[in-house]
Amino acid sequence: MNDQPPSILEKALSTLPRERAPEADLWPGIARTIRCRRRTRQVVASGAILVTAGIVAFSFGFFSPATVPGGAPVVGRPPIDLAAAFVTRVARDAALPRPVRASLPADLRTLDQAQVLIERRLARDPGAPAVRGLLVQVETDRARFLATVEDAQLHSRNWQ
Amino acid sequence: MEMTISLPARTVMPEDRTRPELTEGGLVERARRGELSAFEALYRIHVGHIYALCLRLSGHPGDAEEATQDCFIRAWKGLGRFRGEAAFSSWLHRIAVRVVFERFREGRLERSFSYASSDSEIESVALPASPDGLTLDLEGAIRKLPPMARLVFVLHDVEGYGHPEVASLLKLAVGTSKAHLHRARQLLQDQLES
Repeated sequence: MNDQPPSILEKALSTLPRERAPEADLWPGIARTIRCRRRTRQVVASGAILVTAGIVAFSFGFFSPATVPGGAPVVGRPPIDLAAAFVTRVARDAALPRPVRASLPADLRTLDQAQVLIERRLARDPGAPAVRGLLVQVETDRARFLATVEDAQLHSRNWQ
Repeated sequence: MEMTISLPARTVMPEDRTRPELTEGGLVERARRGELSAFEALYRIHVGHIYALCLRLSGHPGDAEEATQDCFIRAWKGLGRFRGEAAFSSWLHRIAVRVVFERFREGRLERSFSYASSDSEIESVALPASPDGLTLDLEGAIRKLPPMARLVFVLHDVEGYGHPEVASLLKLAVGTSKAHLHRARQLLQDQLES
């Protein structure tokens, strides 16, 4: 089979422009997606830190319901599970922007629960720097998470 | 009358390209370190070619825009794997082909491919001539080609890939790639001669 196009077609091919500009500037959408993913990675990394901190805290008995004065635990699951669930959800939602909205309430609840536990521990021992650090971490994670969700929603709208 | 030419704010000027950090290699290196502005410069340099490729492969401006965006997003994610053995443009080019082909396989290009699924359809299309009356509106004719014939034709005859590369990119046998090319050329030639 001949590898060269027929001459009449070759002539027409030579007139084809190599470049063509899209009608709209595509960069804003690309930059938004990149920033959104970058921030999600940061959130996931922060979540991983939170999990690690949770493991450490749990090992030292910081969050044991039995140690909380006044008795009843705030949630039925230990915080390490809450943090892990949070990270899993964020990672999953980062890949699929649309379900972000669906899982948003659960993710925020997870963060809230973690914060309540940490604050209770702080009420007992306000000077504990490690626990205060965890509180800062949760608050930072919440802010980043909300920003990520906002970006994901914007991105999702842009692509629909 | 005085004329002014406005350029996009971040256009890389030819004289800038002699500065190491503004050469393509320098931009790639900076983008790899996470500098979004460097990646934007790379986007500005290559978007015309990538969009033209995506448009010819997908046949629809909307699909081409989405594929172009997807291509650059994947390129950003994969910058760490780009070793500079090939030109950045070739690497980007391959990403674009894969993006369009994946969208095609996933049925996301159905909108643009569905109307050109038979040989008779292309023959029924009246193609306007260019202003000099000599050349065919080849873009329009390519758009009307059956999907696989179009992909193979664009990659082989427009972009200059060899059959083994086309076959590898489109996951075809080399013989099948040749058959698609033959069919595409035949359909286009018929149009040119009519």
